[in-house]
Order: sequence, then structure tokens, then C-alpha cells
Amino acid sequence: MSRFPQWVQPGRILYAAYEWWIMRWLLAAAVYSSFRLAGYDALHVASSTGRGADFMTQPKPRGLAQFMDVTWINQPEHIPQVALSVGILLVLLAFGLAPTLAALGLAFLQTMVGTLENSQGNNVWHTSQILVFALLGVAIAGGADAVQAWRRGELRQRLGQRWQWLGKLWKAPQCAWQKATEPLELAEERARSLTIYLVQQLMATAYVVSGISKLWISHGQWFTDVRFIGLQFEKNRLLKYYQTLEPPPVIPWAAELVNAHPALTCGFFSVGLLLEVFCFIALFNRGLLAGFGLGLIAMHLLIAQLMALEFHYNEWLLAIFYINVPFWLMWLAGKARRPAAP
Amino acid sequence: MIGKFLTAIPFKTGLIVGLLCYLIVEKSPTGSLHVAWPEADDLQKYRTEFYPLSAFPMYAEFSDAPIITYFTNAQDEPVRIDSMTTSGATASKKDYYGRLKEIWQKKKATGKGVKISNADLAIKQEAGRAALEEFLTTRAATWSTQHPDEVLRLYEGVLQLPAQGGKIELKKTLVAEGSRNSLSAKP
Repeated sequence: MSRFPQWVQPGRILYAAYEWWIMRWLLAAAVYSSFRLAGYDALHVASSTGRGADFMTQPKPRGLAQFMDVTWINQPEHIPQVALSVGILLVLLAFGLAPTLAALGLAFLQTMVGTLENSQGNNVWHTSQILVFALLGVAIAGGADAVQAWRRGELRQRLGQRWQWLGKLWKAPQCAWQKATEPLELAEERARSLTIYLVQQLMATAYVVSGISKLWISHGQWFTDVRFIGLQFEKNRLLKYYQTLEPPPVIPWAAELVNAHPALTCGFFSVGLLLEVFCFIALFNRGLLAGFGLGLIAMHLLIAQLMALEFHYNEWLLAIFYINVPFWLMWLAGKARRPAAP
Repeated sequence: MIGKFLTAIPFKTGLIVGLLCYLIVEKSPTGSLHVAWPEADDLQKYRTEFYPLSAFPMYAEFSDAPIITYFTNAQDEPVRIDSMTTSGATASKKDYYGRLKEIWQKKKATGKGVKISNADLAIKQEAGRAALEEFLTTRAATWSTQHPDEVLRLYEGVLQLPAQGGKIELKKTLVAEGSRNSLSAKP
């Protein structure tokens, strides 16, 4: 008997195999994209350029760079090896062959890239942070599953089960959306549901931390100070302009509109901060996950339009792990359990 | 057991990772490790950065006089930043602003209540020179090696709303000027 009401189900939502397969493939695509943009193209290993000649040193080491030299990832002789490793790990993740190991490896390599970027000067970069959080969610859940099996003395059996499950899915794909009944199916259902829950949880953590920091730094005055956000719109517009000397794709009259209506601005943008601070509520059930996912994506899209600041990976992961369109399509088709059901 | 533990207490993993985001973990030049909880100001100074763990929020403060930076050539024509570096214009701005804040807080020559955007020109120039030198030797190292005598001017721009309302104004100040060779030659 749950301590919580029916609509509060954190960690008790059960996910079907098709949901996890689609999520894994889309996560792998997002991770591929982030490595490609960083210069490690798993589909063009030999022509990968790495982060470029300006990132050969770590003049201001931050994070792991304080304890190790992270420039190895950008050394010309290592770049093809890293790109190839990314490709292999992505295959292991996407096909579910060794998702825990793959997620751990990809999180490590992405951390090297991010740490190198953040060790260049008085600047930090968080574009792919949410991807590393998602990968860590997969790795932690897989690790917990393995430790649990090991403590029961069933680690080998559990590893064998994973392969049995892949074989079963290959022979009878309908298992991917049918209700789990057999012990093997139930064990896999528990494992993947915990994995997805931890990914969602760590994504929520990124938002909650960001929201709390805003309130902490501003001593709670964020809600009133946000009336000056119009100046930030103009600041970003100009910074984007000087980047390329071409007019950036932002709404040109937004800054003037916001400056002219400070009270309305405070109310409107405060909704965004509340979505961040209370993001953990999304984990209560599938409906809230979809609602928060849509709200946060709308916030990111609005920021992109007003400030030319894009959060593509946040949007991707919210669409994949929060909104989860395949589930709602199956539900509309009458092939999925009720959204409120644990 | 561990799986049950993880699911029995909601958000436990998120809570632990969230707390780790706020830890300052720094290694001193002598090699000793310093682990501490941050003050509010530490979050803005990137002291909690331990990628991917970070408590740095975007837009925590909304200044009524935000700062931008941009580069011009010796003829005072704007230069495309993406022609010199793969880092964005924001990175150059943050390099300058971080140094300006550091020097400004150390000197505080202008007294309490004075905004950083109104810091003395000498402070701005000290920060500007350091930021330009850093830009040419790190973010734009390749470009500046190929163009060692090409002069760049670093401008600071302060955005402000006029007291009587109306359009946003941009107050520009030249904070540094030089080439890779000329900056490295000066003391």
C-alpha cells in the first residue's frame, strides 16, 4: 500500500520496453550530435577535428582538470580514437547491449570535453550538462541493478537475463508493448523503469539547482529584479551580432516591450522560475511529466526567440523523457495502461 | 536492497547530486584539497564548477547596467569574433567581466554603492588588457599566431535605460588595444 495518493507515483511508474527502446535511441542521437559538434564525429572518424587548435592547453583548470590533464582528448593522435569509442559506445547504448557501461563511458568522455571547455578562462559552458546527467542516470540505475543482483549472488544470472531478454524481444517483438507477466519480463520492467526514473530525476535536479541558485544569489529579489530582463535581451542581441556581424534571429521589439511593462514582465517570467524550482513535482505521474515537459520546452523556445540563447539538448531530453510522445500515442490507440497507473 | 532504497525515498539520487552541485572542490597550488560549502558570491565566481556538476545559474541577477564587449580593428571597424575563435562572443565578455569584477572587488577604490559598470577607467583598462592578452594567447591563439602584428581594440559597452524612459542606450569605452606582439612586449 503506497504512502502517497494515487496520483503521486514518484519512482513507481512502470515503463514498457518500446518506450525505453525509443528513449535510448533518441538519447544516443542527442549524444551523437553533441560529440559531433565538439569535433568527434562517430560517423566520420578519420576526419574528426576535435575541439581545435585553441584548446590544446588548460590555462585555468576547473573540476577534474585540477587533478588530471584533460587536454589528451584534444590531442590529434587521440581524436579518431575518441570518435571511434563514441561510436562503439553509442551502438552499445542504443541497442541495449551494455547500456550501463556505454552510459558510463560516454559520460566520462563528455565530461572530458566539458572540463576542457571550462578550463579556458573566466567562462563556463553547460550546453551538454543535461546529457551527462541523463547518462549518469542510466549508469547509476544499471549499477544499482548490478549491485542488487551481486548481493543476492545472482549477478551472472542477471547478466544472462539481459541477453535472454534481447533474444526474446528479437523473436517476439510484441513483448515490447504487452503487459509484463513472466519473471524475466517483470525483472526487465523494474530495471528499465528505475533507469528512466533516475534520468528524469537528474534532469529535474539540474532545473531545481538552477532555480535555487537564482534565488540564493539574488537574495530572493529575482522576482522583482527580473523587470530589467529587457536589457539582457538587448545584451544578448548585441553579443550575437558581434559574433558574426549579421543580425541575429531574435524578436527585435521584445526588449522595448518588456521595458515598457515591468509588472507584466515580473509575473510572466516568474512562472519560468517556479517551473524550475518545482520541477521535481513532474515526477509524480505521467501527466505532470508531460505538463512540465511542455512548460519547460515553451520556456526554452521563448528564451531562444527573445535572447538567441538555445537549449537544444534540454528540449530534446524533455521531449524524450518527460513528454514521451510514443506512450501517449499508444494510450490514445488503447494499447497502453492508464497514465495514472503505477 | 539498494534498488528498494533508491525507490523508497523519493528523489534521493537527485538530492545527493543536487548537493554535490553546490560543493566547492579546489586543489591549491601546494596540492592540498579544499572542500567547502559556498557563499552566494562563490556561485557567480564559478567556484562550484566541477563539470558536469554545477550550481551556476544563468540570469540570477538582472543588472540595470549589463556589460558587453566587442572587438574592432585598428581602423575601428567591428571584427567578427567567429573569424578569430571558435568560442562565442559571450566567452570573451565573461573573460573581461570576470577580471573586471575581481580587480574591482580588490580595489573598491570608488567606494560603497558604486556600480561595477561605473568603475574607474584605470580598473577597466587593467581588466581589458588582461582579457585581450588572454584572448589572443588562448581562445584566439591560432589566429593571433597567424596575425601577430594585427591590432585589436577591445571595447566595453554598458547598456542602460534612460531615466526618462525610451530606447536603451549603449555607452562605449575603449578598454584595451594591441596585437599579440605588442602586448607580449609590454611589461
